[in-house]
Amino acid sequence: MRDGVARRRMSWVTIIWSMSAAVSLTLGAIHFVVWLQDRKAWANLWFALLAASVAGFAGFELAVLQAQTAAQYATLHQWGHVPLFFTFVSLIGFIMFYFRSGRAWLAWTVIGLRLVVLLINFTFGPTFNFRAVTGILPFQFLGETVAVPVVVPSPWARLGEGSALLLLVFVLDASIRLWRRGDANERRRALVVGGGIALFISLSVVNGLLIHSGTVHAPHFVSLFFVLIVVAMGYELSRDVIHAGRMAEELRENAEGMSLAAGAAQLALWRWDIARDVIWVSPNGRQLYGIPPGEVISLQRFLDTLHPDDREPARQAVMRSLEGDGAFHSEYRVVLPDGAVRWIGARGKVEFNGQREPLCLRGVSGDITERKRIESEVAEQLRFEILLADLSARFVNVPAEQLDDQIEEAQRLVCECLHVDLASLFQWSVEDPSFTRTHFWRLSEGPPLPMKIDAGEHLPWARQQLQAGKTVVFSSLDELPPEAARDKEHFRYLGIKSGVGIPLSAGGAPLVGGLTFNAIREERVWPEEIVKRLRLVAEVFANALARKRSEQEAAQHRAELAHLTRVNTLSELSGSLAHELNQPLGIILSNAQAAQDIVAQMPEGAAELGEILADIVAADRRAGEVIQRLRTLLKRGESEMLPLSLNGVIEEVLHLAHADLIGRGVTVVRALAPDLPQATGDEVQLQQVVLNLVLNAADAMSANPPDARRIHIATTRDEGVVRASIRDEGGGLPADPEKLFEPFYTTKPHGLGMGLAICRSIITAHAGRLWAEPHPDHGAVFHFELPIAGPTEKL
Amino acid sequence: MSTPGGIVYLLDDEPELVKALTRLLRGKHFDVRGFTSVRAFLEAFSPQDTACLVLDVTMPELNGLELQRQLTHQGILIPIIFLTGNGDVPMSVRAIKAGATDFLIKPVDAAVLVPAVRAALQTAETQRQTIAETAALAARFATLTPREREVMAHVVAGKLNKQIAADLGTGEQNIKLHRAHVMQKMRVVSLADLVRVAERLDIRK
Repeated sequence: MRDGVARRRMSWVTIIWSMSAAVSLTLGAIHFVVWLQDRKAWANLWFALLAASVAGFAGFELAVLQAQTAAQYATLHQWGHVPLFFTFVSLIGFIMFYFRSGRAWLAWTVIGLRLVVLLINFTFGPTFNFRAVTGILPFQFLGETVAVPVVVPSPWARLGEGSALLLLVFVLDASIRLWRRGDANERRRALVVGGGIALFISLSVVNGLLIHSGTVHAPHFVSLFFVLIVVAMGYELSRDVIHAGRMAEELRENAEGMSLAAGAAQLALWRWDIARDVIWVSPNGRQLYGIPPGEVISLQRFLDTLHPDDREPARQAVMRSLEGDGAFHSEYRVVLPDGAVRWIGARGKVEFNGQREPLCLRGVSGDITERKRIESEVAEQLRFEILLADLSARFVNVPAEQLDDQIEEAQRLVCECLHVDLASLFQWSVEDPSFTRTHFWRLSEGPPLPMKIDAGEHLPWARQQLQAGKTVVFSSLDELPPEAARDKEHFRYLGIKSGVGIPLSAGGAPLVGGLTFNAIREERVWPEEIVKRLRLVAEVFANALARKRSEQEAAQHRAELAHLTRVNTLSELSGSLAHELNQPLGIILSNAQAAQDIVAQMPEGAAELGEILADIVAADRRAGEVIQRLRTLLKRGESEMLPLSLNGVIEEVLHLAHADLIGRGVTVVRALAPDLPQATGDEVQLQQVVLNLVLNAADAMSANPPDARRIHIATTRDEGVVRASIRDEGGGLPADPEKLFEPFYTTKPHGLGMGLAICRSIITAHAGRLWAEPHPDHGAVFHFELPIAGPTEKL
Repeated sequence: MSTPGGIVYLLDDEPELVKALTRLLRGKHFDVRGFTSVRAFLEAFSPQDTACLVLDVTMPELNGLELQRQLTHQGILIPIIFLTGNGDVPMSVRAIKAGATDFLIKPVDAAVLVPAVRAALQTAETQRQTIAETAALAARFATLTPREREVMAHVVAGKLNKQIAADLGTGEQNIKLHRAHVMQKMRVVSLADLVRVAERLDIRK
């Protein structure tokens, strides 16, 4: 026994079978460790199981080969079916997970059959394969004597071979399917692993068939084929493991490189695990989206960080990528917790499993705010450029009366193009230095705008800048210099957050205004390119306004000239008119008076005729007087300018008109300054003026009740002038009191319309002025001013 | 009030006005002669008449002021009343300075014109009388001998007979005689009258 054992130990059979089992176990152990590292590597676990089973099977087979008795042989053979069963099961499991192409029903059928085999093996004796082991024969094999049984084959044995064939079909089917479906790598796998398994199973089946049927007297060495299967599979699987390791290394390097590159490019990396709806994002990505570290991010959480308008488009972009080719691209605004808005561009790719089911979406995101800003600026500039060309063309031929509308229309277009809320055109003058808003456009909402701004008080800095020809630009109120404190306050009061102010100048003419654009809703930047173009707009406006002004001045000059011509014509006309009328009036008068003499000598009864003649004479005299007065008034260059007392002139006139005024029921209220300095003037002409004003005042009150017919006459002294003010309590003035001074303008039924025109020409010739204004209570006041007589002119 | 004698010449280019004024002034019993042209007036006018002229300033052929100048130049002193439809102050000043008695503006009222005409005729009459008196005095002066004229000149110069005799180199009695002849021929009774006459005749030493 001891020798036998010693011999057995030394024999090749022992060595081969033991080594096979050891190799199998070792490979299995390796892959078991692989599975422990990666619990998802099910194929490795199945392989480890398979290897263990094969090793067990090899152990039993070795024992069977060295069986000493038939009973021993039968018992060992019977138990050898247990590892074989596990070999089948684990082989199927491996194929299922490694190839992912096995047919499940075939697999279950094979396992079912093997279970039946196992059942039969232990219920009917002595083993599944043999009805009886009648004895064992020694057999020289590899220099050793091994046991070859003498058996009665079992009728069930075909079932075992059937199950092996079915396993073969299963493997072949899985391999072919893998071959058809797979890439080059998978085809090789199908060929090597599938082909190897098929080959060795075939061989083992043939070997088993020959031995079990007792056809061939040979030792049982089926396990060796399975060891070969294990080796083939182990080789292939190890390649995968090594390959995976290298891949993992590369991937890690890639990932590190990617992270570095992404970080350097200020890109954030992210990955959305679709099944778990969890988004992993690199730390700089959390900053990008304003999500605090540690917070778990779902797709909805991500969408919530977006601008409300961009949420749905972003969600749809994600959905499209899941359904389409997996490419994801979207640009959206993120609203940060502090309210700031940031544009982000994201690109990614969906990873699918074998069933084209999306597993995850991974990609990068970057801040594209600057790009978006430049894009929108460029687009804005382009739009503005087109608008500007349009405006320039439009303003070339704007008729003066349409200019105001056109400017406001242009302001609207510019504002809408630049998304500005308010545009104003201010004008000022030497007489009125405050800013007068002459044209403006604004968005409908907003606080009321003053049409006039006391720039010296509220916008001292801006006014100074504009008047110096400088453009004022501020993106926010904080950009204004300290000296603009009052301006800043006023802008705040008006709700202005940002603005541009451009001085208006046309062709080197003095500055008379400014064009401003203001943002009210939110602060905005004013790129130099835009400001430059706004200056062009201002120039277009200024030129158009200057043209309109010169047209208006020309029109006014024409009107003045026409007026002057008319007055001169009138003056000349009245000279010859007086002559032409006086002649016939003289004839009428003389004839009538001659007739009166004749009638006076006639007998009674001619009294009526006398009266007729008397009327003719009276009418003739009156006509003569009218002409005489008109002629005197219109005569020029004959006035005698002497120092005189304005109070004296007034008193003289009131004396002359006393009876007339009493007749009309008019009372005079005097407020004459006691120590009024002398004025220079022609007394008679000034009397004419005062008389005219007094009689006009009386006429204006003819409809008043008698106790409300008061003329208030006052004299006052002012800077270098004395002033007389004659007020009535009548019906007041027309809307434009200046009309009163136009020749032939009259409010009286039989007025000539010359009185006030003549008065004005007299006062103007005195280097004074005459004007009318409504009295705050009621009625009208006429004022005239005369220069105070200089000391040298005093007599 | 009685109407003074004398002729009222009317000169205006407007016949109607001339006619009307003629009627008017005739009604006031003036002797009126109306003309519409300067030539017709000058033909009819006689310097010996006691007359006045109512003259339109603006005449087409000859300006009224120009006619006034011409008449003065010819030594014809006739009071002129100017009528103007368009007169102004400088024009009237010139006219008055040149001897116009009045400057009236058309349409002229009878109440203004009649007194003016009456005054002008009065002036004409006074002038006529003055001229007549001067002529009479000149005629008497012409009857004096050269010696008597010498004596008269000395007398009106206020000299005494003795001084005159010394100046002329003759006796005082001779001077007394000449003096008596002068008083007689000149038809004066007092030295004062003689001085007045001498002034009228513009006799000086």
